[in-house]
Amino acid sequence: MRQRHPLVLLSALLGLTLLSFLVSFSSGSADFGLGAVLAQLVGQEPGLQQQILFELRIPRSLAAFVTGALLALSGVLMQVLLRNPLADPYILGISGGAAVAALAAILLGASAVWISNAAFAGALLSILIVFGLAHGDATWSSTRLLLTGVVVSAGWGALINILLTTSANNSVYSMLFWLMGDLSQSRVGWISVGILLGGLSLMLWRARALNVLARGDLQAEALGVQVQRLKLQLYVCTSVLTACAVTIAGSIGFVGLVIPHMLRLLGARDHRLLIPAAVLLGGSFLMLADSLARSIVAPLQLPVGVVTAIIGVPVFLLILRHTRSVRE
Amino acid sequence: MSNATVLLETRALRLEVAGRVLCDALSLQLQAGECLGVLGQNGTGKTTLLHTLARLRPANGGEILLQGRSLHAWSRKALATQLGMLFQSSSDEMPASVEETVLLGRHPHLPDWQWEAAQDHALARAALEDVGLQAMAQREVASLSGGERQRLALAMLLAQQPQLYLLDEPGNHLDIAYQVSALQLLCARLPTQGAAVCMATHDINLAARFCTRILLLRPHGEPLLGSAQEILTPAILSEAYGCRIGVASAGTRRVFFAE
Repeated sequence: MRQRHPLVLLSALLGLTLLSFLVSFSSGSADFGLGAVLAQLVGQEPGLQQQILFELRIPRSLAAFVTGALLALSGVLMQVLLRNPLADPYILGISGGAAVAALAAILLGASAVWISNAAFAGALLSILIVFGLAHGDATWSSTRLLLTGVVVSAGWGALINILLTTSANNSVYSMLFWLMGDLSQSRVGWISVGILLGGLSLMLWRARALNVLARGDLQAEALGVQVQRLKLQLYVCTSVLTACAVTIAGSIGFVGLVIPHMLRLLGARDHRLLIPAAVLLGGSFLMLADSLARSIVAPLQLPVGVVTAIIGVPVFLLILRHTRSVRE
Repeated sequence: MSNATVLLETRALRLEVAGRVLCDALSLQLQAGECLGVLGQNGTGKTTLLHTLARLRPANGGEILLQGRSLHAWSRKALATQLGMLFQSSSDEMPASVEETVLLGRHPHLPDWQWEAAQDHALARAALEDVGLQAMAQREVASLSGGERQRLALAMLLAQQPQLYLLDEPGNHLDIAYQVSALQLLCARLPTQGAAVCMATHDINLAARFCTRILLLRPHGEPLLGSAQEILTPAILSEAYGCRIGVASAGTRRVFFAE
């Protein structure tokens, strides 16, 4: 595709983000649509609607946006770090570590806060294990990192299955919800927002170097990039972003893998454009998916991870088909 | 010659790969305007030597000086403004257009936050024209042929504008016409830019045509360094390549072939 002006894409995504916030604020099982939401946002009238909007919907929309943004950004970074278009934020086992710890906490009957804390601790543990093993020979070969991560991930998968098969029925249900990714209990604090903004600014600053790194380690080094240092920054950054996302909402699939590809297909390959665009599109996408998750079968709620795949798969395949026919 | 024109110097350089000594005490000076050819059998260390000179791997002993300064005293970025390398292969897993890729050559010249200026775009366009890829600026790198990718890599190197060009098999994937035109293009600029070329190649005839001096790496014994006239003889080449190599005259040129 021909390159468009970067500002066109970013403005369109900014518009989409605002729209998604409004849609997200207006979705839910209570009958309370866009008009009422706008009235509440302009002049707040105390009452049930205000309570629903400010205590339930807005925090949940924010959680969805931040989680989606974290995952999409992390996916972009992981794909450059491993120079592998199939990489996603969970490929190095971070979500596996988080899941084992969270499931163990669920099994012990912990409260939601402690399940989150356990997930974060599990994610950190997994990051350290993979880092320690992959960094053994003091180089950062992408293949070695990928192999270590995938193997550690498989180990976590086995532990998850042990926990699932040996648990009582009622806890298995909440475990499955956690594993599929769920925003119904999610709230974001300033820490998550800070981590997102921190990761975003650090990687915007390194964005041109990431473009160079995508062409190979040696080539990047020859063009003046300190590859080992950049890869370390990438690993730490993408790990913390993923750990944060997993802590908020469990392992929501698809966002981190597919949002970066959608944007690349739309012409955003330069990381200086791709990184902010991924934050906006990832955030909006997850907000919209979550709006559907809580309204399709209301008052029941679907796990949002299921909806991301149900919407994402056809959208992605359509874009892929369209761009291929343009290019050839 | 005055010291000011020495771009690159190695002093008692020692190179080893997996315990095998490729050279023990290599001392050479590369002057501005010069084109040095590195020849030798497969596995004698042509690429290893270039990577060492580009500080992509450590030397196993000795010293390398770029413009009189130890290679290690340079910051990675400052080094990349002076020294550029053409690799044997490139990674194309991540999508990018031809234009975006050439612009990467400007990376070492730009501060982190700065976008490429009009001048950088002009240099990139000129580099694409030099290699005849200007009509493909918007194409995907993945859709290029092997030879087109090699020309793209060369364009990126031209946009980088280093003083020292390290070329690893510059003729790879290229038609005979492009092999000659690419090196002609580069060698024509050397005197005006005060730049120099060091190229590793398995193509003796390419080296004979463009290189003023030859470094011949040998499977046994120390490398030979000398003028192209001295080194490119059937006797020396036959010994170094382990097969009988003959020479024929075609006008003013000499053509080497395996017998």
